[in-house]
Amino acid sequence: MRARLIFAVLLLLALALSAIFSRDAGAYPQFQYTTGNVRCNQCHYAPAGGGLINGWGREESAETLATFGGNGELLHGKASLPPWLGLGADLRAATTVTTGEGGSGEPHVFPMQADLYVRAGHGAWSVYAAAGLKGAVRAESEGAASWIASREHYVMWRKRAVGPYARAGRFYAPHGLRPVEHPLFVRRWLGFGAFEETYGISAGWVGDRGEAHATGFVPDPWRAVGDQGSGGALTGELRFAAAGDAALGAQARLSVADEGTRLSGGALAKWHPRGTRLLFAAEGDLVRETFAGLPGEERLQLAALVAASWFPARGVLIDLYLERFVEDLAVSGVERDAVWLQAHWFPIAHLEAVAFVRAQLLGVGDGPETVTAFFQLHYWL
Amino acid sequence: MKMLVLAGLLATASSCAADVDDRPPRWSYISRAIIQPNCATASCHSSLSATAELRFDTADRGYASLMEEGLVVPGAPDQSELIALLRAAGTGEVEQGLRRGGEDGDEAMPPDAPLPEPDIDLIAAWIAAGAEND
Repeated sequence: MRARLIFAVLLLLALALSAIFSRDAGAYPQFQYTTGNVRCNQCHYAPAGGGLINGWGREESAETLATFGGNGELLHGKASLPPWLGLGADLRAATTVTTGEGGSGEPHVFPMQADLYVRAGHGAWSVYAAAGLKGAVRAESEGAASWIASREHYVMWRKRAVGPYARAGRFYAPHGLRPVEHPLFVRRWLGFGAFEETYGISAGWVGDRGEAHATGFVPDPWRAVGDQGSGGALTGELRFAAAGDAALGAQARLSVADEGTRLSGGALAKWHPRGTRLLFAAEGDLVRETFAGLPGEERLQLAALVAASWFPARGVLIDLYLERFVEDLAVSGVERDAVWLQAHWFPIAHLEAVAFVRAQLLGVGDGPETVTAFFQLHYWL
Repeated sequence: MKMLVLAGLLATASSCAADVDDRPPRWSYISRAIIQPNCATASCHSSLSATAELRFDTADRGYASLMEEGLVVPGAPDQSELIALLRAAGTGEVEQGLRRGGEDGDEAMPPDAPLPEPDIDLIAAWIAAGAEND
């Protein structure tokens, strides 16, 4: 009875907090190999990772990831749910400041995310929904209605975690490395920025030796953000041994909109050297864009990321990201380069602190630079 | 090491761009190539947020927003608030109070993420040519 009361109170608290913040939920590809897990869906319900974690993910969050352990179960083990039901929440608050020639120098403290997750399953079928209020660094004149958002909601068929699956609803078409940080160029400029999920039907196969996903999508008819095209996406990854664990993958995406067409393709690589707590990853994508009403006009873009992640001690993760985005390969001065140094600390299950410094250079030589410092506290139920 | 070599090759290959910018100074191009990806984001001027009642998620809505809010003076980029906002974001003038064409209280655009100068030049060329919805 007492446990139910605590559960109810905490759930209400989470709902109330959800009415205040929200943003992006995601997976950490850095955990692949380095934690002994090879598939995103070992810890997440979603076949390509991200969002609510499953029972194994909750165990791992305490026993493998957290410095001081803890209990990764819902409400720290104070309540239990029937096996068919999964609940969770992500709450993030952050502060950031951007300085340098292109930065405003104004510090911001902001609610970053407050999402609730519900997943219910019966046999091979499940329904999943994430809902909360959209976070923003600058609230300014946004109306209250614009804060309400459901990033993901879908129906899925999957007999087992390993094997085929199909799902329909709102989600990102699986593509590339799928890092959690949405400002990364391979997300921000390739159609995977915050709240740029599309409606679609996805099918694929997930296994320990690799995975493949095919998605057909249309833009959100009510609240489209980003490129409002319809199309398809393919991504795949093969895993093998190479002085440790390695993976090679490829991805492609076609989006056809009234105002133009975007076709992108790229490759990814991951390497976890044997006996280390390191993961190296890289992704490069080329985008060819054409413009409706401007016959013959097109541009070629490049987005690339090289990442190194290191777990120096239990519960501590250090990331170094090098990235480049070229808005138009035929035009000089439209390049963006960035370097990130990021640290995560998972002191106990359910709690994470993240800090990063990101230096970005716009253009080559005389372009303005920005330096962003960021700190985030993350609690999940 | 292989990844560093790959990164170096990518950086080198992607730096071989032409010095002449022959992109069309037309709104249909500028909207889709520059304005939408930089401005119509989830927290800013998209259908999700419409901050400051501006929406740039389609060419027609973006053009209407610019004209209804008086951010563009056709034929006069130097008098257009849009250019002042964009240039302030990349010149450090924010700290000097030179916001929104010299007025305090509004933020340079895009905040903390300035546009490349060639993009601002292209927008200025479109305004100078009459700022048509072409």
